[in-house]
Amino acid sequence: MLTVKDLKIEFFDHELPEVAVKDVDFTIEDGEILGIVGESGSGKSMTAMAVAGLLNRKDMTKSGVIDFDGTDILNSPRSKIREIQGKDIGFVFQDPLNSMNPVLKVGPQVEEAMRIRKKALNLSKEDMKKRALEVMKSVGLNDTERIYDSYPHQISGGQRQRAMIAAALVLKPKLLICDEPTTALDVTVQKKIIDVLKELNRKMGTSILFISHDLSVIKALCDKVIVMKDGLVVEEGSVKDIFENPSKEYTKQLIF
Amino acid sequence: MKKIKLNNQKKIGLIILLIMIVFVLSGFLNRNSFDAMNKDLILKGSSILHPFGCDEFGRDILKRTQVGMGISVVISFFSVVIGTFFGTLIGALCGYFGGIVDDFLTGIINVLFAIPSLLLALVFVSLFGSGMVQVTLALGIAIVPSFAKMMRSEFKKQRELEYVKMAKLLNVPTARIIFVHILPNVLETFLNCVFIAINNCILAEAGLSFLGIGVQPPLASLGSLLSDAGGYIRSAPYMVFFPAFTLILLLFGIGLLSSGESFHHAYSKRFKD
Amino acid sequence: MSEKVCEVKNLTYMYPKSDKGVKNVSLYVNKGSIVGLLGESGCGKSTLAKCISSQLKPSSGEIICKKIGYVFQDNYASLNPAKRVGWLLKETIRYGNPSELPKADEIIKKILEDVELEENVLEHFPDELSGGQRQRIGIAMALLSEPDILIADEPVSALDVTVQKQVIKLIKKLNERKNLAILFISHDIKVVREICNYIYIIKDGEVVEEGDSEDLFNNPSTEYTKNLLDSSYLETK
Repeated sequence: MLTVKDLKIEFFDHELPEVAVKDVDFTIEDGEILGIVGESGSGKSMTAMAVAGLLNRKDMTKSGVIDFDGTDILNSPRSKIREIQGKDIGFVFQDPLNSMNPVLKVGPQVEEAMRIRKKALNLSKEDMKKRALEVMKSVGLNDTERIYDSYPHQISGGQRQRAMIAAALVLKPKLLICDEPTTALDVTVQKKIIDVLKELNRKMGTSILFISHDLSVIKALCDKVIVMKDGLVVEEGSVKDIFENPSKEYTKQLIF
Repeated sequence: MKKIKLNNQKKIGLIILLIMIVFVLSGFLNRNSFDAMNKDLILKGSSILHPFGCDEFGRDILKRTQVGMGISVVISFFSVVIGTFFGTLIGALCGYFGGIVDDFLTGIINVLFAIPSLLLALVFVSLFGSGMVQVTLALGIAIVPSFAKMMRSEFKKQRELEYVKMAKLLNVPTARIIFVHILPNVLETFLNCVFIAINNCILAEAGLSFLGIGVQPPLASLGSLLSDAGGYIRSAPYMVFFPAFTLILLLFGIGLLSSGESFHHAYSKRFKD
Repeated sequence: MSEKVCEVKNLTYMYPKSDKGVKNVSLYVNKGSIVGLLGESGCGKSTLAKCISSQLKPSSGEIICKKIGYVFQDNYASLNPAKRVGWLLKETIRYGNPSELPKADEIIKKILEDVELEENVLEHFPDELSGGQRQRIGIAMALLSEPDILIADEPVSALDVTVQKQVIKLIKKLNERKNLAILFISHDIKVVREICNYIYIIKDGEVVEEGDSEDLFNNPSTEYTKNLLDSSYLETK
């Protein structure tokens, strides 16, 4: 479903050009969960942003192939990518407090992806609310009516992150990209979010690209894993293999 | 301190300012007198001896513009010095201490804010008479409120950062924390405020002189030159044009200087883990 | 019975207009031991540390502590970004240990050795350094006042796993070499388990469980601890 080949991302915003990502190849099949693990500066987030079509700065170059269901994400016009974003690709960011607009209520933010396609999808206001509540319930939020009418700061971190996942899932995307979705959360909450993602994957068949610095979280969730360091892929394989026989010294260090 | 960062806008601004400085200083080489009247030259247009022409008393406008700009800049410079000093001090105290100190000083600042700076200057001048010193003081006081507000919010932000807590744990004296530890961190905002304040001062001084309560004749400032020339705008438009043009150029140069960031990190070498 | 360098008795501190804070906490730290405070965000562990280091004034309870060195979590904000590292260290000596000021250069040299840094970092601004280096500087600054106990508030949480390991190794080494007591605050079970001898688990401002590190993790007695262990996907040793 998603094929990434020879992805290279280079930045020119400092005096010396900086290669953020180099020679990255991977594929995600339908219903698969791929984890990318690496430390800060390893290029894992850049890869995720590129896949989501969110890298559009002027002072950088991208080369290679990102093929999402026949659409070339790197070279398609902006309008085409915007159509896919939100509909076929959902994105969950690290910090739920910053990725939600603090002056808007949670409900409308969950509905956002639907609202901008309201005409095409022929949805009424009631339909949207119904759908939003449904999705919020499916990510394990109780008391959905209250949360729908709350502002982001009125709900807990875990609830916020669930609401963000709901917002990303509202149009049933084929691929959900999660960039460190649990890093800012407590471990007990983290576990619940991981469980939600697992269940989504099982029930709806959503593919997930999961970015994390924490190998143990990846182990609990993913099928395949890519280990990145300094923009390069160090090691890749099934989660089981990598945990049982890490071939590179770096991977061993990551396993705490 | 960190390296000073010059983007293209700043470079252009700097060049304009340099030209302006040369222009003002070259006034010393201009042998025409700024206040000697000459009835043969009344309202004479540009000539080789008087490139900017002459005014209604036959005085050389080039020389008067040079002197006027010099006076304008000197007045704004000193009023900005006064304004930034007290503004920073009050802002720093408000932001750093908060609580009653903040409430009290902010109260005063708000009262000052409520009085239009022009009115304040008028009151000042009517109390102490008009002249350069009075104008400088009045403008200086007029700057204080906005400066204090900016600095207050900056210090409030910095106060919460952990390096300040660390300094407090070490029992570093409060004055040292404010001026040695925190102040260098707000330099960016500080400089931008200074540039804006200089601009505002030059304009306000021009405004005051235009109203006749600023610099008194025969001395001139850009404002009084414009005010004098106003009556002759149809018969001798060059009288308005040259002072106005130099004034705009000066403001433009300073405005460009305040664009973008002033410092950047040297990043001569970045360490990686 | 070894000597106590820090003892907290029935400490209570409540934030104004909220039910959050620290409630009736007692703990102690022996000389040369590493004691962990483990808990999730908002449980009051940082509040406790702030009370002990007298950044906050507790409403009741008793704190008997020898000289404290404090290491902050956020190594970006805890080092003044406008000053060079050398200046920061010198400033720490100037106010933390003024009698040593004439010998400052020597002391700084020695302390850099202790935290395993090259001398060239002195010329740099904090944001030119890597996260690990910054945290080492933070530790060096805490050590400069020659403390009996080091309070480290989430010292490695902002660091990468591999760097975390290096910093933990350093803290352990300092503990052994100087027989320095350390109060180590963290939300990360893995880190706490790696480094601490004795652990207090805190929830909603109260100590819910305490015990020797391995005992606690192998036989957790409360539901909360079990849940915590279960959630962090620990490798069973």
